[in-house]
Amino acid sequence: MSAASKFLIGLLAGVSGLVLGLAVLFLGLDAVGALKAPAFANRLSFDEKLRVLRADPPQNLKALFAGSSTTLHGVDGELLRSELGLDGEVLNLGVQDLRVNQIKFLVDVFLDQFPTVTHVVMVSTLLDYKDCGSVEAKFFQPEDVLDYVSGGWPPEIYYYFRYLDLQGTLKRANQIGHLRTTIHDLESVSFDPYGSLLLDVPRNGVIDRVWDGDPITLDPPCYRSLRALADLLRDQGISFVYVIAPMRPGYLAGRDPDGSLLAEHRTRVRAALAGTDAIVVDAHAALDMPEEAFFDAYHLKRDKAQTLTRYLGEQITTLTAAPERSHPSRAGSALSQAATRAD
Amino acid sequence: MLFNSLPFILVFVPVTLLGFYLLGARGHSRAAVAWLVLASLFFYGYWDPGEHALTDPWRWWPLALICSSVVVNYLIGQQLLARRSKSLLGVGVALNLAAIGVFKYAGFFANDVLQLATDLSYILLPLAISFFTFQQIAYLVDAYRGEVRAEGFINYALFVTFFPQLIAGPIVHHSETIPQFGKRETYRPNLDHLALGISIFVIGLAKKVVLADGIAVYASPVFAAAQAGAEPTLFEAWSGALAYTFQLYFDFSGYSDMAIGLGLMFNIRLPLNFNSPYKAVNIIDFWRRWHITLSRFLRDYLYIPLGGSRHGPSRRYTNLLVTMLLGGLWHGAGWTFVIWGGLHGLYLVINHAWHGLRRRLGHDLSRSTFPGRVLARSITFLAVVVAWVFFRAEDFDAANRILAGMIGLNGVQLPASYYGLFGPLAPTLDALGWVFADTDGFHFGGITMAVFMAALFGIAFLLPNTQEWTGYIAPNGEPGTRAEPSLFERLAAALPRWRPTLVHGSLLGVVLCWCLLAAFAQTPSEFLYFQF
Repeated sequence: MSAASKFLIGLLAGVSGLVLGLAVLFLGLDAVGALKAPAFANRLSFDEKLRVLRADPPQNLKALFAGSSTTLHGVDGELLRSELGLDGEVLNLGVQDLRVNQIKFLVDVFLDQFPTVTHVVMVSTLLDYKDCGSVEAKFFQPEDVLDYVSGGWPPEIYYYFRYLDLQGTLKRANQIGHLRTTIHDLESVSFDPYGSLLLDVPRNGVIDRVWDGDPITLDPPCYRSLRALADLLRDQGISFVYVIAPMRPGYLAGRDPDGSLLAEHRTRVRAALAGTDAIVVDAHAALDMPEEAFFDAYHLKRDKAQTLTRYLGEQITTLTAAPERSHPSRAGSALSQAATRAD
Repeated sequence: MLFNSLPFILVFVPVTLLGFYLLGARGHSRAAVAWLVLASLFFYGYWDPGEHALTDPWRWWPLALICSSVVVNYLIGQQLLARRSKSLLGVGVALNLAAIGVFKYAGFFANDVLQLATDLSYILLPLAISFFTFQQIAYLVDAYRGEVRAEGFINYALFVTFFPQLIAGPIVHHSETIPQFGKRETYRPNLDHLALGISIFVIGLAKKVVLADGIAVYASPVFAAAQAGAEPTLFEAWSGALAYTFQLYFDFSGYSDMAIGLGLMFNIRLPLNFNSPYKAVNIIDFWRRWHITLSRFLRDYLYIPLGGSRHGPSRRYTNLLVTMLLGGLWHGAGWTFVIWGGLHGLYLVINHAWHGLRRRLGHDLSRSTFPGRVLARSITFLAVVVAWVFFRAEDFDAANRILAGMIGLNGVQLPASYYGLFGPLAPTLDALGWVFADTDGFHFGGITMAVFMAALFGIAFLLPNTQEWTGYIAPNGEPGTRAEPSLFERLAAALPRWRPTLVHGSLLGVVLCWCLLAAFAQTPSEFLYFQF
């Protein structure tokens, strides 16, 4: 056999050896529960949720909670389901650090997957309104994600090659088991059966930057995305409830001392949703949560998240059942109602 | 179709190779050449800048252009071979320049030079027009000079369209490839060439996919921010400029390696295009190592016809400046490319003047010391990095903002967590105005980037290049090594060389597989929640 033939045989062996080696690594890590989900968005909270959805897809889904980490950590899916008395299921599809344009993309994609949805609820803070002009809305490939969630062909290992993230896989190998069970870590992925993730992170588990929050510049394209989302849901006959989430008073005192930023945000939200069927619930004003209710700048501790959930259950039940549901000025009147209560 | 795409690597190359050798091994060499021409045109036509429907005539416009360009230039070339006519040569060169002028420079001249408010964006730039027009201009000039042998049309068509060199060079000279089309052994499968060709292709692929694409993520945000009006601080500006310096080198030399490797798989040797340019000890040396085939074209068909160095120093310097300004414009239709070319022209003038001065002082330019070479390399590299800022920036203002950052005019900032790394020095740095903070829009890759860049620095400066490692010999027979290797080059020469063995095959197989997986993967950059 010539030297060149040996080289070519070696080449084929090298190619197939690496594929085989990676397959063995993925299967081995999976067998011991140390394999993180395929990196569809390379965001642990999203990728791991898809893994849960693939394993246990919701049947007859009625209420979809979509948003950033404020939705993920702020709504107790199980509690809400009983509060709302739904005959179907609830899914919390909150993903850490989403912007409004990305939330709109997420909802758009998943409504195709879950055509039985009748309510979409978005729990949101100021942070979601940053950088929509520069952050790409499409943060995952919808075809791949929906195929994966649906189960079946191709097998799961295909997605580990398609979304190859060897460094991340190895880095997470000794953490993922812990993150799937703890509620005391910012990166936890210990979802309840409804996709919610209520946390209780100690102060020393939160770095200063997350505790104080970044400076915020409200970005106009975010409000246009909010409008587009409301229009999309109205066109599909789905009820849309928009919730201004509680924010930590200490954080607001630092970032928005005179309250002008929040006031401007409320005005812009109202303007964006005017003329749609969206209901706005100002939980920040209504609940007036104290400093101790939060574990960082924006997120409620576990017990306070349940308080918020109960409040949302009441509001959604009341407002979506109201006879003036389809009134054009509904967004404005609902907001006024919550604001009046706070006063 | 890109060299680093799966359809190209897994389908196009194997099918084209198979067809070529099935025809060639049966003695149908002309059919094999025709097959390669068709495959190359398919490769070219696969690309569509406007995402047109297959039935849209605009979809096929670039393909029609290259086909007509080949036919017209061939016919003119044949006429020039039969009858030496200066006016016909003028017509031929003018037609080529008109094509490139309309498709590449019309918008620039109308909007940027003449300041006309004319929208010429509908004129799409056909891929590779700069390469195939230059190749054919050289052919016509040499036909006029009587330096071309009469060739059949199909061989000429392959000389222009041969897919490995069609899109991004090397800019092949007809004397380098056409004679190879006439050799019988070209059409017989050669496992040695296949093994070496695959190896060079894989090295190029890894340079592109792993190194260039890997470092690009640190360059793009800095240039984008500067374009948007941000003023990069010292470390941001340097990290952006250096990251781009390495990105461009590994991208372009990777592409050239892939072209050379592909050519060799078809038993065609293509000329070298890069020879460790960042190891250059001066700018003259740099241009003998960077995009070698372009330098050669500019020298033979522009600089020398302008008079070269034959009419005294001032005329020589003028010729250098004109050549480099036009060379800059060849790279892209924009003022930043003109400035980049002008800067390199100026560097060359200074370099030649310096050499002239040293010669007059009686210095032997062939002798140097190790510290002298280190200093010379550092100055050359610095000059090249500064020029790349103009090459990469979208406009003059963005380039200036980055250059201002590089000399510290925009302040100094590092991540907050770095404060502790400076120990007792930290308060002093604080007092000097250094900022340790994580702010929005701060683009600094930190330690990870520094480690990556150090590795690229080592590869570019210290390791043997592809042709040195594999022993690839270009068609003109020169491997392109320096007469006086540096200490590091001598050390690097002790590293084991490429050989067609099972072990080398396996290792390159792993690299190839990794690059294929990278091409297949859709993985977004990792999002770290706690870093938001």
